[in-house]
Amino acid sequence: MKLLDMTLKYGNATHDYPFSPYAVPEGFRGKPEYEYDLCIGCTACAVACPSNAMNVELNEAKDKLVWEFDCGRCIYCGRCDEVCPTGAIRLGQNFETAVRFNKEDLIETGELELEHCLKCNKAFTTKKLIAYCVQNFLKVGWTQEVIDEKTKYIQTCPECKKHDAAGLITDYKGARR
Amino acid sequence: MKGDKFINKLKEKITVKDVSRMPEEQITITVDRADLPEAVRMLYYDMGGWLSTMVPNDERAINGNYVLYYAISMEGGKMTPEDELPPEDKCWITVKAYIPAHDPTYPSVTCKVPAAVWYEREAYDMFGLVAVGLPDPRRLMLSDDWPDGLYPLRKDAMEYNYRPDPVDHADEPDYDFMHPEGSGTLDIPLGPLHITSDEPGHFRLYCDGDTIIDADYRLFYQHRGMEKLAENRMSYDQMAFLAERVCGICGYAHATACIEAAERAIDMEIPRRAQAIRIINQEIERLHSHMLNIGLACEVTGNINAFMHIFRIREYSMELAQLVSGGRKTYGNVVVGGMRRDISAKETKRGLELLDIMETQIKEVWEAVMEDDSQVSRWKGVGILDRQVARDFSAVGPNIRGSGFKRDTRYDHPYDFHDAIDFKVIVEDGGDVFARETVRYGELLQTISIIRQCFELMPSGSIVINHSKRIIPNAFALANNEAPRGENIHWIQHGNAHKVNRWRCRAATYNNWPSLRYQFRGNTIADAALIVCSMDPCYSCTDRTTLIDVKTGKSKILSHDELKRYAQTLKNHPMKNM
Amino acid sequence: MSKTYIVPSDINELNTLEDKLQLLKDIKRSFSVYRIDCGSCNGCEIEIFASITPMWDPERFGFKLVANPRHADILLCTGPLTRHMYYPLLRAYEAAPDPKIVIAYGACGCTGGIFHDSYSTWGGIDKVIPVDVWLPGCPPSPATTIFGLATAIGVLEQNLKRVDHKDGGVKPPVIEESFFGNTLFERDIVSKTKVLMGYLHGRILYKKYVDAVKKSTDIYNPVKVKYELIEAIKNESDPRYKECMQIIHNDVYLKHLKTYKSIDDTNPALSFTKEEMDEIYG
Repeated sequence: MKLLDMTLKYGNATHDYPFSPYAVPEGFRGKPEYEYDLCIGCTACAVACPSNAMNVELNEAKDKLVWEFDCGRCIYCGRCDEVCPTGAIRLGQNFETAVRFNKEDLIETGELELEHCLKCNKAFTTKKLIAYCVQNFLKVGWTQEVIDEKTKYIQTCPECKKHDAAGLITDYKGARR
Repeated sequence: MKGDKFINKLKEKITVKDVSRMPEEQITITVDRADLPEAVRMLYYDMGGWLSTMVPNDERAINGNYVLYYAISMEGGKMTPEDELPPEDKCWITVKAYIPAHDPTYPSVTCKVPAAVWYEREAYDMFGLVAVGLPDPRRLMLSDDWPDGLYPLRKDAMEYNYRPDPVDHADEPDYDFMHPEGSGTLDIPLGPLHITSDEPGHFRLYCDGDTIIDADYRLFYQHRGMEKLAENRMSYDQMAFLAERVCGICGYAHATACIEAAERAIDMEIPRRAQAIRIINQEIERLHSHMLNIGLACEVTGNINAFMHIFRIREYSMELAQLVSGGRKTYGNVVVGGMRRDISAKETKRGLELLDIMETQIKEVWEAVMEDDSQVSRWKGVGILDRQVARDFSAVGPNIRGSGFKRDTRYDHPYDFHDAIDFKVIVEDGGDVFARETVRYGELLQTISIIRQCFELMPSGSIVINHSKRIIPNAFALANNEAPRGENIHWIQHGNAHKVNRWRCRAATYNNWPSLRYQFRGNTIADAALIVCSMDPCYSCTDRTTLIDVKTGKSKILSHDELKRYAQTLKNHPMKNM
Repeated sequence: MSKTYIVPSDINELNTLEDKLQLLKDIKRSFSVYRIDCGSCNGCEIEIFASITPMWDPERFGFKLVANPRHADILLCTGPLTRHMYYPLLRAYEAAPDPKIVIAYGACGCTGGIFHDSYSTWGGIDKVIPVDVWLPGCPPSPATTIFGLATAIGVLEQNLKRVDHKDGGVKPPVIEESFFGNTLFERDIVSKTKVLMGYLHGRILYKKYVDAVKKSTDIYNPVKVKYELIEAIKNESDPRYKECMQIIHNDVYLKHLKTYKSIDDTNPALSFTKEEMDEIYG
């Protein structure tokens, strides 16, 4: 009987949702929201994602880099949010994620332009990423000579860096302040 | 040094080839594989050890052998209150034995220490290491259609994502259940699909009339190959999230234990504030898990009203979890070297309010449940865990504390912030469902007090270390953690390139399952669900039950509802007195 | 991976989209759900359980858990579908009356989640049986569950649509000018805030700190900067942020200032002393 008294005491505990909106609390880890304009294609999120919900791959024609997010695989850990350098991915408040009859609706993609290697002309990263880095170089108080040197370095693909490691390292070191 | 007296005693009978300490309180001794059973037995029974975990490992790339590590927690037999080691002597002794690759056999330890039974069955499944003389060599982990002779955890066996084709589901292979001798018993299969919130598991109860005389079970329906996955696909930054998904209820304890094992192996000290936050999260997990279990123990016996109230209070603990971590169930805030999410003072304040609400309401509900004689008598005297059985199988958690053992890894091997906190280990003597639930209730109050202390004592400073330490390949350590269900042990051996070479995760329930069989014996079918529930492996209950009379071969199918109704109304119906 | 299971033609014929929509129309606001755990970690079970308690009460729109797949309109499948649960799942699937709606619950059910390519799982329910509704989340919170169930029976419409962003150009986001004259200063504050309070609270801390420092008329004058910080700390209600702002000033700001001019960072007029730090916790 005591339990019934408790029921009376504490009353109705039911939420109104879905008949009225439900406000998620502050700091809730909801669906990652993607801001396409901010994305530079650095692939940090794809490397960090424990469940491989985020992937970055070349498209079929091999002329664009495609960032892809599969909400169905996301475990809402927020690692992408944590590592994204530009704030393109932030965990939002959206919890209404179910889809019906079409699984494709869980997917979000973003295409990015490719940058080609100075030496071998092979595509290896995005134009935006290189431009972002160069922009960064301008704001740390380096001389123009250093900036030029570093810009050249980052425009070389890892493959060429490996082949020409010795040359590049001397170049790079010589340019250091 | 710590542990020397045990090793000296061991040396009187056995040749100890090598002794190493890393970290300080974890001692690894190497013995010949022929001496393995005797060494483990001496440590276990003669010197008061408990089997924490056993790790089979494929070290052929390192030293050309398979290696077995039997980790024994030295804390005293605890059969009597005096029979306990002083805190300065408590340590882990890991018995290591090399097994040559060309002859992967070793003498079974199980004959001398029954607690090793599941570990040795698993060693065969995953590595193909044969324990000679093992009384129960059946398959434990892998599914019944897994090809013979393919041992997934051997480094050279297969790709981590190799999936052998299944057979047609009409030809599903059968598992060989143990059957008691003699005729006249009823053979009751339960599961693997259950109705209530339940993990799949298949139980066979052997009954004489209404009384269970023996039981056997087939588990590991959820074997997901996590250890192989972590060794191949994951870096340490990702592993914590995988470890958190070992279990959806006490996952956080796994995440911290896993990361702490990695930290201890390279002697990494994390900031005090991070330690306190880890404790807070773990204890919040204990809050909701214990409430869940008490609630279900009420529900299984038909006390739906109490169940609903407890679940209502449980929502406060979920709110608390969400407050400090941003997620209700998966907190995702552990990284190697500390934490990735802080608790602000505003959140602390709200947290303290929630704790007060919970404390009052939990007390109210528990009082109401205790006044209900029919509820209490349904719990008393059911599913008794015998003290000797508990000792033999190294049971853990509220399960063993309900049988009068003062065994809590927070008390035996304090970790993190626990050295700054006052708490009492709750022990009950009954050994029955009632004792276990009372332990859980006592722990709820302790937990609230621990979280409160952590909030109040939370040190200032950073929550993660600056990256200065590097992984040392092949360094290993184990980490302990008191999850809601008991002690979790994770063992990690570092590999190269920020990856793990071997991760062994031993969940609390792993040590409790083998003793369940003994808890079943002598009870009625109606109480089976309650006994499983009170052990808290997963939740109660059964789904489709076939009663087969062995003599006549007649069978009858009971639906879950029927069985549950039976379970709820058999005796002392909770509504009877109202 | 070869095709694991071919849905028998008799089941296939009775489970067309029209049949399913008709079923949804027929059952309206009364539907029976059978839950199948295909090897999930239990997190999903717990959240299903939490969402059928009175707090969320899905019986308001007719949700009912049933004990047997033969009674079910909807199969709610959790877990990445382990090898071991493959056979029980198929038995339950074939036993459920046609047409049937299958919901894949949680990240694991939808795609295999974090276990998607492990040897012992099949990587999602839809790898084996046809699935109609996907309900992501790890685990889905009760609110998500309620939304998913309401979507499944058509009470609510789904929100998500596939989005393909294209032709974003090559211009990267603009990096703000450093108020210190060197973005390395900002970089060090960001990394310090992360070490102190993690990525989420760290961002709030960063904003609070930078806003306070920007108010100073001369960023290179530590006395003025400290004065502004003391003002900001007075207005801040949360002691934890107060403390961290002091630490950043001592550890990051003064260190960077030293590269510009020589200062004595033990001077109490420039840095925060231990007493000042202890004061905030009163």
